Amino acid sequence: MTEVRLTIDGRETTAPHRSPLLDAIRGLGIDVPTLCHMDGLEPYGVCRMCIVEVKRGRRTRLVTSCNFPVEQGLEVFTDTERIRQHRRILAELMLARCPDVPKVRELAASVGVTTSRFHTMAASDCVMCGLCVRVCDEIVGASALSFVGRGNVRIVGTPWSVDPESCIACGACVYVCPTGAMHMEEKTTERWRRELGSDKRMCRYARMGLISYKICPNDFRCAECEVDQRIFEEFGTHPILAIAPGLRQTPIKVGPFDVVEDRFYSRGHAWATMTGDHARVGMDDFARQLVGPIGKVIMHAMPGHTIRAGDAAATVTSDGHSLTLRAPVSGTVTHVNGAVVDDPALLDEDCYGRGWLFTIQPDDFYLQSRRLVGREQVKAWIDEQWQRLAHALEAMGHSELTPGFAHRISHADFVELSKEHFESEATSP
Amino acid sequence: MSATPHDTVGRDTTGDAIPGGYRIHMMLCAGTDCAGRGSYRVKEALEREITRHGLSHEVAIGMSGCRGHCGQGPVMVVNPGEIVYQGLSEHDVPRLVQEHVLQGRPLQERVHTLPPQTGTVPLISEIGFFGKQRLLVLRNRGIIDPEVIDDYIVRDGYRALSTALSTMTPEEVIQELIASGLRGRGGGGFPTGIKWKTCREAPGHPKYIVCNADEGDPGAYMDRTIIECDPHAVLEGMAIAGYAIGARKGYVYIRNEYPLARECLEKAIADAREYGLLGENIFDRGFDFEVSIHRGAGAFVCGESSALMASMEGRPGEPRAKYIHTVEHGLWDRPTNLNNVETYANVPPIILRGAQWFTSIGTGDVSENPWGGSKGTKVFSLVGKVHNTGLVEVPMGITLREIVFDIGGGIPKGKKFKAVQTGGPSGGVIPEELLDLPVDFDQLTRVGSMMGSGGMIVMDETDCMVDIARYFIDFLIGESCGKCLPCREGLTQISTLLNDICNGEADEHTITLLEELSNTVKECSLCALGGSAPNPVLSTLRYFRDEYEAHVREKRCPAGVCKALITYSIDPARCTGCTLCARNCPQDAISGENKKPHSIAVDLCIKCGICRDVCPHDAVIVH
Ligand SMILES: Cc1cc2nc3c(=O)[nH]c(=O)nc-3n(C[C@H](O)[C@H](O)[C@H](O)COP(=O)(O)O)c2cc1C
Ligand code: SF4
Ligand code: FES
Repeated sequence: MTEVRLTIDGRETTAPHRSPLLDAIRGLGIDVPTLCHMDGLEPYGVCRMCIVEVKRGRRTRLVTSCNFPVEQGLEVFTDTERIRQHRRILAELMLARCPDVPKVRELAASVGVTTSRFHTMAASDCVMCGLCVRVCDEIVGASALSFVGRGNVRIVGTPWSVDPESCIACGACVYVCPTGAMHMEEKTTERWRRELGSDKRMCRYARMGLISYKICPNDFRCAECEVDQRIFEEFGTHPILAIAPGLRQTPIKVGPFDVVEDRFYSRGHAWATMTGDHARVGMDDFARQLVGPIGKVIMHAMPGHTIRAGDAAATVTSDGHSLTLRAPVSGTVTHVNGAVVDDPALLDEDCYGRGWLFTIQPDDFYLQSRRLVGREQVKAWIDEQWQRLAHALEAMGHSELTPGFAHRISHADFVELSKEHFESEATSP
Repeated sequence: MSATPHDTVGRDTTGDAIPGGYRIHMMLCAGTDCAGRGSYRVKEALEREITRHGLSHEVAIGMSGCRGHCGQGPVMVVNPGEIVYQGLSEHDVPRLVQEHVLQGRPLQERVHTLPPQTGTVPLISEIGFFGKQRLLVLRNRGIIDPEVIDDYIVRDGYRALSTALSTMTPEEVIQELIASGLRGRGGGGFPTGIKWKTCREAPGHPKYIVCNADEGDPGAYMDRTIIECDPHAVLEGMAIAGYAIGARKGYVYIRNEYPLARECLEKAIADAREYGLLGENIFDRGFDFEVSIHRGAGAFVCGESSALMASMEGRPGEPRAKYIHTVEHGLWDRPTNLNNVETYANVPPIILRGAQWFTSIGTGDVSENPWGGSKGTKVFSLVGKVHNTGLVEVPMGITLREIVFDIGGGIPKGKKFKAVQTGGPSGGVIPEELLDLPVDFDQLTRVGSMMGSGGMIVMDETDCMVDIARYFIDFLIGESCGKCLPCREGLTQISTLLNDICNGEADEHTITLLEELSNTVKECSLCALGGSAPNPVLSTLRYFRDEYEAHVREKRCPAGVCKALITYSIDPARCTGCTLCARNCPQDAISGENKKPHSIAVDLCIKCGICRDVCPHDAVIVH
């Protein structure tokens, strides 16, 4: 990534091109108030507290630094009177909504506001920063929370306001909530205790797909769990957040396809990433969309087997179409994801996270990874794959190139496409 | 009939005779408004009557798209003679046929009348409402049957596409657009050619063309009208954009509440496909282009470009930060060109008649700088306190005065003009002293309003500007998506402050706070909805600050609107004691003897205003 030069409050600095401006500002030790921002989550840009002025050429603009991409030659001002004035008004608005929330009072005080001149509306504890919704979606991968309604009656709730099936009661939302508005309801965990027999009481880490299988011995009282204690002691943060960020990166879009940049990809569309001494392996979104809704996962790799890169590792099928995924690296298989075999829909929901396929102890991952598509090339590669796919589809008379197209094509066409994109792998390394 | 009358009407077209050898041609408006007022019933009655007289081979009866004169419908134009009828009903039909068709003289009582009665029957071109207009986008309005593709083709339809495909490179098309100075009609006024160029040059494939037909402004219906009158013009513009940009796929994002327009467009797409004007290898030039329709999600904010694309992808229709442009990363992260309906409809005439012709209409100089002026025409929906309400298309640079007084026919009931609000709910108001302002993108922005999509609401002396600001803010509160703090919380607080002012519970500080807050919402909101929402407040503060001050200092509403600040009384000098008010008062708050001046009991009065409405002697006064 190329570095660009910019000045912040008169000080020269450099930062990666298009990286968030906030990082560059904080890198210089300059403080900018933020509320809706959290490292590890996609910037959201809604509290507007992090506004700064940027000057490019003759034009000065007010932008939110948490999501503004850095460019060559920017001149940035973080503390002008114009900014201070707006921050005070924003703080007053926040105080009028949440007059009794310590975090809000503190943030307001940091910009010199202790009382609000506005009427206090129906006082609420929620500042609508969206951290809980985003942590649940981006990190936990459960998407059990969402915004409901719009405008000034918008609230955080659950999709269709029903008790969400996908909630794993991990408490990450409660942990990230800056105001204490988010509470765990005993209801959900109660239901699990009631409904799931002791043999099926899956630990939340297993539900997230972070480990292959673990039965919860604690009746979902996570606070009593020694694993949790250990992780917390080790990382000083909520266990989910400690473990997840490295594993669960927010995918970016390349055309209709999700791509997680921090992974290695085989030309046969398997991904691999090192976690400790194991590499976790899965199937990428390109392959997933090509096959269509996945009905069945047949695992060829078994714990204890040694496999070579290019060996058949798993076969996924979707009404009639099937596709064999080949191991991206050589090594010894350590775990397979039982959850995805039981519930292949996990692959459709989250092929980079809970839908992982197996873990492997690789022979020299570093050496092997050089044959794989890495962070620098992955976007261009998927893009090129997409264009080839687009042309192939067009040649077959499918002009519509929208997500979910794959299951609408004939079997013969599918075989041809999968050859084009996958079979080459069988003969290569 | 020659081509001249058309030119004086400003219709940019070649002349046309009555088709099919008929003696008389009657075109009834089939627009949503006129249809609602019974234009189809009139048509059926006419057909029966004409048949009864055995004149079917002499008199052609057709339907046309909306003529824009919606306040007076059903409207019918009869040729030869360009006679405009208004307010027709089926009961008028026998007399109309008797007079116009058999006797050869227009039916006087239904002929459009000029505000001061002139006694003569005006031609279209003499009616101010039509005369000052210049029909470019609406060139086919009321002339073609929108459902008949041949009608469009006869009037040079798809010739621009064929010209572009066979004689111009995509770069030349873009160059022509840049030279024409065409700016986006969806509100922002971004130069269309530049947008196309950026999209063409953006890396990534495939690229998409999207037409924004969301039109969420209350009271605005120009895009709907364009689609309902001339759907092929929009399709042709999109296809030309596809060729210029290198896209093969176009979508029309159309508001769900527009079933008629959608059907019209569906038919147009099917017809164009059948004629090979959409689909594969168009005009044998190896260019493929398909258009599909996407139904809108229904919220005003879905018209915003990033929200629109999110909604098309099936995600919540919420805006995102625009530091990454949709031209480069749009639909499914692909380069996407989004333009408004009217913008696309402008494209075919520009390609056919050239940038130079287009730049001859409008303001400024765009030869060096595409932002240097506003070229072409703009369609406005003119509503509020004017005689003639409806859709009008005028050349850029026309003054507000001409629109309000010549086209709009001035203010009804002898009231005084106060302000005109342009740009939809988040536009600004423009006071009387700026009536001679030439209407273009930059002038409107300069005075604190905007072009927006082209709403234009006229207000008179009985409108309270604080109340007006509150009205628009309250609309916008309901439309805010609630994602960002300043718009979600700020608009609600603005409304509360305005309420305080209207209720007489405010002081000078309220006005200062209102101004500070409005500035923050305007500058700090995430998308342009919040970014423009405070305009009604800021512009009324700018031009009518005295009204705000009267509310807070003297607790007085100068326009007599804000109920908390007004009292009703009866002027004894004018009151004849007719007892009409006393009999109509729902509160029995009015007392008095027959033939003697009456009076209102202030403690009982709920300020409903009925007495003022019913008083035949204007004796009820409001303070
Ligand atoms: C809240 C909001 C609503 C909008 N609604 C519309 C709309 O209904 N129709 C439209 O064409 N543009 C609308 N726009 C403008 C679009 O974002 C976009 O600028 C426009 O469609 C681009 O087309 P143009 O360049 O041809 O003007 C809206 C913008 C905002 C902020
Ligand atoms: S400005 Fe309003 S509409 Fe736009 S993102 Fe913010 S809350 Fe949503
Ligand atoms: S931290 Fe940037 S908008 Fe909230």
